[in-house]
Amino acid sequence: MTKRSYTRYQSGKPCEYTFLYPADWEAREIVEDGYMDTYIAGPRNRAGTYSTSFAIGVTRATGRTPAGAATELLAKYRSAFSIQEQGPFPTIVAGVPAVGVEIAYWMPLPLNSVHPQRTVIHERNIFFQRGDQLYELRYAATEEDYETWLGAFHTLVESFAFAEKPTDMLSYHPVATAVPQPVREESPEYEAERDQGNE
Amino acid sequence: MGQVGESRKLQNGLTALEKARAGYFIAAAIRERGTAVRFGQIGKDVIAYFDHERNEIVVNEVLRNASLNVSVQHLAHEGAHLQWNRPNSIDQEYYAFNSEAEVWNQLKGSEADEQCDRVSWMISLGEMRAKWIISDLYPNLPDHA
Repeated sequence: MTKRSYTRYQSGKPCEYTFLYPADWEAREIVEDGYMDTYIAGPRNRAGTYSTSFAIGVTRATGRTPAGAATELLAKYRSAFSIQEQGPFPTIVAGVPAVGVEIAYWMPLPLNSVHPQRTVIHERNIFFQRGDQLYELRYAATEEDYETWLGAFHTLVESFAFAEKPTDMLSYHPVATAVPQPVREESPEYEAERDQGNE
Repeated sequence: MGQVGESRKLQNGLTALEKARAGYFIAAAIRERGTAVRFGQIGKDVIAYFDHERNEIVVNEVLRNASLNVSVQHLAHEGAHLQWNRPNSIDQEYYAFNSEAEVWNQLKGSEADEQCDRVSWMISLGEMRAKWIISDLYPNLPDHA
């Protein structure tokens, strides 16, 4: 088994997610009107026409569910291609129930060539919801490279986590606590630390 | 098809682009800048390109016998680059493919074309996913330029 080295990615606000990805891949984050995403470019295929990649997309759920989004994606692919598909299948990401689909289809590549080659692309897409955000994790590679990097995508999925709870998921539960007993502490060091803690 | 016939075909393509709702401003930009449109030999099997320095759109001569709608679609893509008038980027390619898809969807009727249909499908996935695919194809392009 090939041992890979990974780098931890930390996204910016407002989503603040983190995950591991292959250390020599190139990650970039985009915040557009209506969505936020992270795209990580891996190696090119042998023909030099397609890059293996991971992507994380975040959009407003606006009534869509992970299962609905997975079904909608499959329908869009079916409308255009004769595809091979697996799923939807249940899975878990960051402790949250998720739905995955796997699709294989072909593209004429390069797309801007007068002599393109039919190239089979495999995609694994995983959808889950957190608060009012719909998350999509995507792995795409040509057929020849798909198995090579599938383990790295599993690592991304298993390491995917959030920095903190989204504000719309915060809830307050009454917790029984012992009545605090006043304690007198004269130490100036203690005062300094307490001040820092209030910043 | 002679040179006159080829030239007429692309001029007809430009007129068809102008009549397509999604292509009107692209065709207007091509005309306003006096950009030449011609068939020609292109290396590396590329379908078409816009040459800023020569101010011309060159469509691969292999496509001389392609349908008018297919020619129009390539004019839409290259004309969108001309309109953008900046170094290329994922944003710009998305805009060019989006223009191409809109024009194709409007004009194609029952016509099918492998590449044009794939572009149309790619855009139908929405901006985020379309840009992922464009990044898979052109990984060295910056997001913006």
